[in-house]
Amino acid sequence: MIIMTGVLNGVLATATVAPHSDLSFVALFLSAHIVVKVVMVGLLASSVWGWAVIVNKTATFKNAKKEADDFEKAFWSGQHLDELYQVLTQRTNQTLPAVFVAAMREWKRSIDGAKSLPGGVLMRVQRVMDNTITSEIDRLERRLMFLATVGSTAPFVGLFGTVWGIMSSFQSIAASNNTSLAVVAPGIAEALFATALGLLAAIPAVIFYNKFSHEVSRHIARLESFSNEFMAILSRQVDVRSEKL
Amino acid sequence: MRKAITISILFHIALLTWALGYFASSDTPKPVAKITVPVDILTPSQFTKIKAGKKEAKKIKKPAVVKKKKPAKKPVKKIVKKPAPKKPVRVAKKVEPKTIAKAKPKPKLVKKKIVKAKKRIPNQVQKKPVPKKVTKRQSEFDPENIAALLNKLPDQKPAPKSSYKVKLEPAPRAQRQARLDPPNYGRRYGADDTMSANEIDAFKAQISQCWRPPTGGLGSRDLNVKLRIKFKLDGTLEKPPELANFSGSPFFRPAAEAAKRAVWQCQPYRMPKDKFATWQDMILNFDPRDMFGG
Repeated sequence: MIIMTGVLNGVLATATVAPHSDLSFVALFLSAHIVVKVVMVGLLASSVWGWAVIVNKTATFKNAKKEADDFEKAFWSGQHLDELYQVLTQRTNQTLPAVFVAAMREWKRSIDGAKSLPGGVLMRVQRVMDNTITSEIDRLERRLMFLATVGSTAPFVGLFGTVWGIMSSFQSIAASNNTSLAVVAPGIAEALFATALGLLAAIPAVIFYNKFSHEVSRHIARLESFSNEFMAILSRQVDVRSEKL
Repeated sequence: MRKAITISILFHIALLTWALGYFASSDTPKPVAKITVPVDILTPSQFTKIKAGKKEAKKIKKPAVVKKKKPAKKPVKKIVKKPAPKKPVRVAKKVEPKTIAKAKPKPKLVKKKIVKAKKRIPNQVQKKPVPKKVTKRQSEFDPENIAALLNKLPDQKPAPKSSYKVKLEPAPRAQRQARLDPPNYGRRYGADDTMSANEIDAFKAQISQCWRPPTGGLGSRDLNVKLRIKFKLDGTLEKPPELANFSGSPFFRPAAEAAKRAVWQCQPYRMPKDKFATWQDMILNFDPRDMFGG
C-alpha cells in the first residue's frame, strides 16, 4: 500500500502540468471532487488487495491439491500406516495429511500400553478428525469473504462516485448557464471513471470468489470421504484386535 | 501473503501505466471550430402566414444555396406571366398557375393581422419570405430543400430593411406596411385556414371543464351529441347551440341538454381571432368517451 501511494503521488506530481481540458486518467482524477477521489482511491486499494488475495489463494489451493494427491498415492500404495505416520510427523502438514496425522496420533495414544482396547477410541478419533477438517476448511476459506464483499459492493461504490460526479457536472451546467458538451463532459468522464474502477475491482473478485468457493467445497468433500474411509479401516482394526484378546 | 501483495501491486502499476499511455495518446482532440446554424422557431400559424403572396412581388436574387438544384429557367415561363413585373424567382413545381395569376392585394383584415404578428417577431418574419418562395409553396415537406430552409444567412443581405428601422420612420401607414411586409409570391391569403392543434386542444379543454355528461344510463356511453354552434368574433355564442343529430334513446335528451349547457356556460371562448372564419360556424361532436371538436 505504501509503495502504491508513493507511485500515485509521483504520477500526480507530473500530472499537475497537464491542461484541465484533457481527459487523461490523471487529469480526470485531479479534477474530481474530493468524495470521488476517496471513492477512486478506495476502489483501487480494494482492487490491489483483492488481487493479492487472488494470487495467494490460487497458490494455496494448488498446494493443497498437490499435497492431497501425493498423500493419497502414498496412503493407497500399501505402505504400512505406521511408517507413513513416522514420515509425516517430521514436517508440517496440511489438508489430508494433517487429518491423517491427527487421527493416527489419537489412535496411538489410545492404544499404546493399553492391555485391553479402550471403549471410546473410535469416537475420539472421529472427533479429532472432524476438528482438523474444520480448521483446515477455515484456513482455506480465510479472506475469501473479502473477495465476496468487494464483488458485491464495489460496483455500488463506483456508482456512488459516478452519481456524485454527475451531480457536480450538473452544478457546473447550472453555474455556467451553458449546456454544451464541453461543460458537461469532464464531469461525466470523471464520474464514469469511478464506475469503471468499481467494475475493475468487482469483476475479478466475483469470478475468483466463485472459483475458490467451488474448490473449497470440493476439498471439503474430499476430506470427509477420506475421514470416512479411514474410520472404516480403524474400526476393522478394532474388531480384529478385540477378537485376539 | 506478502509475495501475493507485491505481485498484485506490480500488476496494478503495469495496468495503470498502460492505461496512462493509452489514454494520453488519444486525449488531445483538435479544437473544432464552432459552427452556428441559425434556426428560427415558427409556430404552424406563423409558417402559414409567411406563405402569403403578393402581386407586386419583386424578383429577389437567388440565394446561393439553391443554385445547385436546377437551372432556373424552365419552370418559370408558364406560371409567371401576369403577376411579376420582373421575372420572379422560379416557382416550385407544385404551384397551380391560376392562384398566382389572379393574385390581388390582400384583404385589409388579413393584412392587419400579419403586420401585428410581424411586430412581435420582427426578425424571424423578415427573413422568412426569401427562402420560402424558392423552396416551398405548398406546405408539403420537401426534404431536399431543408438546407435552403435552414440557411438564412446569405438571404439576409438582399432583404430590404430591418423591421426595427422601419418602425421608427414616420412613413404613412400603407407604405409602412408595405415595408414591413415585403411583397412576395404565394397564395392570395396569408391567413391560416386551419386551427392549430394547440388551439383546438385549448378549446376542447375549455368545454370539457363545463361538460358533465349524464352517467349510468344503459348504452349512454355510446350516445353522440352533435351541436351546431355559431360564434361571434369575441368568442361568445351568437345564439343557443342547435342539435345537429337525433337519436331515439331515452338518454339522448339529457345528454343533449348537458352538452348544450356546457357550451352555453363556458363562453366566451378564447379563440384565435384571426382565424374567425374557421371557427365561426362549427359542428361539435360530444362523444362521452372522447370529445372531438371542430
